[in-house]
Amino acid sequence: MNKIFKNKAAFAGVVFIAAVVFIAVFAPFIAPYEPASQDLSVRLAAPSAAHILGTDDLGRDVFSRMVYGARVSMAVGFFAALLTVLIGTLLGMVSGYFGGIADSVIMRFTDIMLCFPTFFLILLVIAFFEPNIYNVMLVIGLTSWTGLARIVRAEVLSIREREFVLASKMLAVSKSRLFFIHILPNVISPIIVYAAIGIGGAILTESGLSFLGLGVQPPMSSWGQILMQGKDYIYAAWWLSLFPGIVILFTVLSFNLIGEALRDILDPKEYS
Amino acid sequence: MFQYLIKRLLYSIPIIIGITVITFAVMYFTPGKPTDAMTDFNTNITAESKERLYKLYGLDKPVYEQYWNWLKRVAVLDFGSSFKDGRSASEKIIERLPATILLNVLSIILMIIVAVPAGIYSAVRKYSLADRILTVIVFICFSAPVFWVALMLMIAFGLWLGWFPISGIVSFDFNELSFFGKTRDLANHLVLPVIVSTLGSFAVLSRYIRSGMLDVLKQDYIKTAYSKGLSERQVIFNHALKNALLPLITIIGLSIPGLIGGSFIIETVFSYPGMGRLGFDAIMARDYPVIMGIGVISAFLTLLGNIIADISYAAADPRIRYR
Amino acid sequence: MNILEIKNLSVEYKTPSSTVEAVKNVSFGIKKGETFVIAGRSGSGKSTLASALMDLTGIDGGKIKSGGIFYGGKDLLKMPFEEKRVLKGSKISMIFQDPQSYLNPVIKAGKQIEESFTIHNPKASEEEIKKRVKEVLKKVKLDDVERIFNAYPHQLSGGQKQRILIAMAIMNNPEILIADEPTTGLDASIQKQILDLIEELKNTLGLTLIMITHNMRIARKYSNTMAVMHNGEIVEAGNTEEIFKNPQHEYTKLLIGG
Repeated sequence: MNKIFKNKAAFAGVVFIAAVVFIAVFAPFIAPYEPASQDLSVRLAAPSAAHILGTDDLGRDVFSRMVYGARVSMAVGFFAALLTVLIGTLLGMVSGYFGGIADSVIMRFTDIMLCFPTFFLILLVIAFFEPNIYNVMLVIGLTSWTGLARIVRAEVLSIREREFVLASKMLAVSKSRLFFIHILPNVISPIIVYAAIGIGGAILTESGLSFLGLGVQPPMSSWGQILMQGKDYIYAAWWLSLFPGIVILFTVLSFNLIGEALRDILDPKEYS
Repeated sequence: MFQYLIKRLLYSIPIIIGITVITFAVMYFTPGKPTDAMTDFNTNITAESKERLYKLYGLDKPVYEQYWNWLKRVAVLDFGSSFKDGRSASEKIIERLPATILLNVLSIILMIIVAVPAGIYSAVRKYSLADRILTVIVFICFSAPVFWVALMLMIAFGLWLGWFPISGIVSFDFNELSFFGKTRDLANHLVLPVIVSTLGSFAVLSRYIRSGMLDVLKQDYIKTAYSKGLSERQVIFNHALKNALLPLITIIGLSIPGLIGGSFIIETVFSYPGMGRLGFDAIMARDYPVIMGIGVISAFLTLLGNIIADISYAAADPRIRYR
Repeated sequence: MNILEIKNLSVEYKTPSSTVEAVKNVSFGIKKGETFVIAGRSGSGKSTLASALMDLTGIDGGKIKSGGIFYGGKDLLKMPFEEKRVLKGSKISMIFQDPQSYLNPVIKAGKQIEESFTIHNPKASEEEIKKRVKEVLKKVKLDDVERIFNAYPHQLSGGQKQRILIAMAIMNNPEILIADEPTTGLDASIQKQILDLIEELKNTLGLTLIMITHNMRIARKYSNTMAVMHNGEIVEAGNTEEIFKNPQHEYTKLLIGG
C-alpha cells in the first residue's frame, strides 16, 4: 500500500521533471515573448490574458522569463550534481578501497570541509570570481561532495570484506578491474539516490545565489533571479515572488521524491 | 571516558590546522590582491604607493611566511581591520555574534520541540494518515527555498496580517520601552526568522528521528520489553525513546554549519543584524579581514559544537561512558 | 489436559517483492508440566512459531494469517491487548537466543530486572520489590548482586545476561516458559550450565517448558515430547524417545543422522 503511495508521488515527480525539461528544451517555441524584451508600458502588470503570470518592473513577461529560467535551473542542477557525484565517488572509493594514508588524508579533508558552512564557501568563491552560470555549477559541485564521499567509503568498506572480492583477489584479478567490475556496480545505488537529491539541492543553491544577486547575471534569467526582483515589490507585485518560488519548490520536491523512491527500490533492506 | 576525551581533543588538532589552511588558501588564490579594494577606487594612487601597501600587509613575502604571520595573528583573534571603516574585524564580528547565536539557539530549540514528537509519532504510527501528512510536510520543508518561504511569510504575516515586523531585530523606539516591552519587541522580531531558519533542519531531524525510532523498535530488547507485559506506551517511553534520541545529540552538532550557512541568507532577507548579514555585506564589499574572520570563527564554532556533541554523546551513552 | 493448544496457525511475512508463509497451518497441544521441544533447522519457522505464542509477530513485521492459540479456554489471538498484556511475563514468559541484544543497552540491569516485577505488581513496596528480586536472582544463581544491579548490560558476561533474562522471565512464577534457542551465542562451557538451570527451574517451579532448538542432542536430553518443523510445517510430532528410536519422516531421519 505504502509502496503504491510512494511510487505515485515519485511518478508525479517524474512527470513534473519531464515537463520542466521539455519546457527548457523547447523554450523558444513555448515562451510567448522574448525573455529579455522590455515593454515599459506594462510595468508590474498583474496576471492577465496577455501576460498569464504578469510582468516585472521592466515590463518583461514573467512566464517567458520562467520558461527560459528552466534552462538555467536544470543545467545548473544536472552539471553541479554530476560534478558532485564524480568527486564524491572517486574520493569515497579511493578512501574505502586503499585505506591507510589515502583514507586518513581524504577523511580528514572531508571533516575539515564539513566544518565550513557550505553556503558561505559558495558565496565567497562566487563573489571573488565572476558570478556566472559556469562558476555557479563549478562551485556547487566542488562543495557538495562530502556526504557522498562518506557514504561511498562506507559501502566500499563493507563490500571489500565480502567474499567475492576476497575471491577475486585470490584469483589475482588486476586492481583496476576489481574496482570497476566488482566494487562500482555495488555502490551505484547510493550514488544514484544521492545524485537525484543532489540535483534538487543544486537547484535550491543556485536559486539562493541568484536571489542574492550572485548567481546568473541579467539578461539571462533564472527562477531565483526573478525572485530577487520580486523582493523589492512584494507588496505591489506578489506574482513576481509567488510563481517562481512555487516552480522551484515543485522541481526540488520532485527530485527529492524520486530520490526517496529510488532509495526504497534500490535498497530493499530498509524495508521489513 | 577520560581517554576518549583526550583522543577526541587530539583528533581536532589537524582539523583546526586544516580550517586555517583552507581559509588562507581561499584568500591567497582568489584573483586580485586584498589591497585592491583600498586602491581601486582611488585614482590618485601611484604604483609606488601600491607597492608600499603590499609591503605593509606582508604580501611580498613567500606564501608560507604570509600564512605563518596570519596564523600568529589569528591565534589572538586579530584578523586585521576592516577595509570599510577601519575598525577591528574581530570586534565587528564579535558584536554581531550574539544576535546570530540567539537566532540559531532558538532555532535548535524549536527544531527539537517540533521534530522529536513528530518523528516519534511518525515511527510509532508508521503509514498512518498522520505519518503520511507529516511526510508530505517534511518533504515540502526540505524542498522549499528558504528565502522564498521568508518572502511569503513576510507578505502573509508582516504585510497582510501585520502580526510581526518583517525586518531588523528591534524597533526604532526600543530604548524607550520597559523591560517587558523590550522582551516582547525582540520576540516579535524573532518569530519569522526563527521559523524560517528552523524549517530545513526540522525536516532533516524529524526524518532521522523517525528512521532511528523505527530501527530501535525492531531491536531485540523491544521484544523483551513486550514479553515482560509492558504496554506499547511503556515500551516506547521507557525503552525505545532513550535509544532513539541518543543520535539526536550528534545530529544537532552536525546541523550547526547548515544553520550558520542558512543565516547568511535569512539574515540578509530579514535585515537581521547578525554575523551572517555582516558576512554577506563583507563579501559584497570584498572586505577581506572581516570575511576571513567570519570563515575562521564559524568553522571553529562548528568544530566546537561537534566536540561538545561528541562528548555529550559519550556521556549519555553508557556503552562509551563505562568502557 | 493441554495447557496450551495451537490450532491451524499460519504466520506470514511480507517483503516488497514477495510474501513468505513462515508457519503453515500448524496444530499441536502442550501438556501441563512437560518439556516440549520444537526442533528444526534455521528457517524452518520454529522461532516464528515461538514469537507468535508470545504475541511478538507484529514487531518483526509478520502477521498471523489464521488459526488460534488457546490458553485456559481462551483464544489469545482474539483477546484484547490489555487482557493479553497481563498474561505476558506473568503466566507466559519467554527467554531468547543470544542474550547480548535482548537487554536494553542504556538501562541499568537492576532497573530492567525490577521492572519485570513492578509491571505486574504496581502496588508493591520498595522492600517487597527488593525481597522478590533477591529471591529470584538467587534462584538463577547470580551472586555479586550489588555489582550486577548497577551494571549496564555491556559490562556483563553473556552467561550473566542470560541468567538475568531467565530471572526476568520467572519473576512472577509463570506457568509456561518459552525458551527460544537459549544457548545460542554463549560459550560452550556455559551452555550446559544454562540448560541445567532451566531444567532445574522447570522442576522446582513446576513450569511447562517449550524449548526451541536445532540441536538434536539437547532435544533428546531435555524433552518429553517434540515436534519437528520443516518449511513452516510440523512434519512429525510425538514422544521424544519414540521419534529418536523410530523416526517416520525423511527430514527427521536427516536431522537425527546429522
